[in-house]
Amino acid sequence: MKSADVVIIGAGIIGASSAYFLAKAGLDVTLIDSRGPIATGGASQACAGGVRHQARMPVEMPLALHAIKLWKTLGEELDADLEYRQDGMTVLTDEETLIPRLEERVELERSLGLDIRMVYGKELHDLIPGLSPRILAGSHCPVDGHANPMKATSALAAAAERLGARLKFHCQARSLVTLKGRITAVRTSKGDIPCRHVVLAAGAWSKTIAATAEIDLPFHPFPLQMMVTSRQPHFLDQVLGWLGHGISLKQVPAGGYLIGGGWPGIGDLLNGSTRLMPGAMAKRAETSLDLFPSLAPIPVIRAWVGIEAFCVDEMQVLGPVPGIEGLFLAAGFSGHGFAIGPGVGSLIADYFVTGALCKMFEPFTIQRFSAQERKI
Amino acid sequence: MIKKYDLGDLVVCRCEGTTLRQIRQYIHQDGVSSLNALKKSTRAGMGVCQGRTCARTLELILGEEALVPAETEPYHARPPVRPVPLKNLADGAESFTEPDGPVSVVMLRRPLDGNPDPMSAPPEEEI
Repeated sequence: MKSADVVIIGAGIIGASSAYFLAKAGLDVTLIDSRGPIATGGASQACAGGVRHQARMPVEMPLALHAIKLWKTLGEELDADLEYRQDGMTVLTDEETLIPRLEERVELERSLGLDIRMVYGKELHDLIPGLSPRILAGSHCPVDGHANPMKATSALAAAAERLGARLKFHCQARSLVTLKGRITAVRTSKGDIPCRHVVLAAGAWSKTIAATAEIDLPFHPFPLQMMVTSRQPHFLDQVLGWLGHGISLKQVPAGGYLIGGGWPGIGDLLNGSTRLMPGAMAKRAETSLDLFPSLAPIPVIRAWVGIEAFCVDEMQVLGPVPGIEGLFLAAGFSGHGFAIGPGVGSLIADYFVTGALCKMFEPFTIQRFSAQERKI
Repeated sequence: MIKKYDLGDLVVCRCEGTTLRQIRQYIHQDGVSSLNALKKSTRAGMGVCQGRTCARTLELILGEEALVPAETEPYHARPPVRPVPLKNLADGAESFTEPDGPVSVVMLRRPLDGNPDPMSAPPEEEI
């Protein structure tokens, strides 16, 4: 197959945005994915589409601020409707004892430059009509929001292609080919693609691909389950979270209430198949109604599972790999990669242009695990 | 039949209002070759009936019009198959033992290896 400057493995939100920004920077890019057009990206396709700053590790906040600045104009830039809404998100609590914890986080996030504040009692219930009366307080960030992950992922890939990136579908990466400690090609189900650089952005599937270059990514696959209700008249602008209850609730522009929040499903990494856990649907329905009782008669029409890579410390691995020249890791986002995806892609492009790893990526390099830990 | 007439305005998925023209556009312009990608791009089959009405029609259109041989992957029928009110789902919550919680609760029980700083500020609940 035709050689490339950079081969990107995996056309989820990370791979597709990397392809877009690298092509925009004038590099010769090939983006490959084992699935077909529109259906790429195991976790990206299935995710709940939250685009939030708040409730992240402080170390990730600069990346979130950078990425969400891009989200504001991304649809226009890609000439596509990504259904991005910046209508705010509030993380709620009904427990007096947890309010100080929320307040502490809000203070910290304000100090990091985020527009966020605490909202209490009547003001909160005026701000979000329909909340259960038991809810006492919340951290409200007006610049959080949500987007359509399927549209965002495929629009980035399509825009990359318009800028000259080659998209190879049904093309499964089998192994990384190295010679004297440097990448020379990616071996795929459709033959070798010679290249000098690889961005490994294959989510949970990255682990087995990295293993072919004797790198042990401390990931394990985690199937996450989402569900959506039938279309309803527009009512809820914000994304709602509930501290300690594992729920994220939003109404998408199509009208359905999308209920995520990190409940597990069942998935098989080998063939990509997934199954639901009915208990996760039932328990989350219960939580949703405890938070927002008026949803009771609204029917759930669909539930699904996507397989995400969880890193052992629940933070992504980003950056080059000591000892393997030309390999750049961008995987293991542990359930919080969608929102920062475009930011990650743009900074990966910066890395390839300047040759220097930006400050925002430094905390996430594989060097945070000892040399012994990361070798198979 | 479908090829012979220009029936672009024909509604193929009545739940989501997807027309034949929209479906053809994704097949011809984006190279969509599977039922599930067609569903994701056009929303056909994503509505209250979950494709029970239109999935066969979509199969037919894709089989006739796909630029590459259509994928044989079957249509993903998603539970709960029929719409179930949240109240009814919630009423059954007590009867399930699994799962015992959302992911971050499960993950937090797992001891993390290595140096706890600077990553170990307590992560919050939601994804």
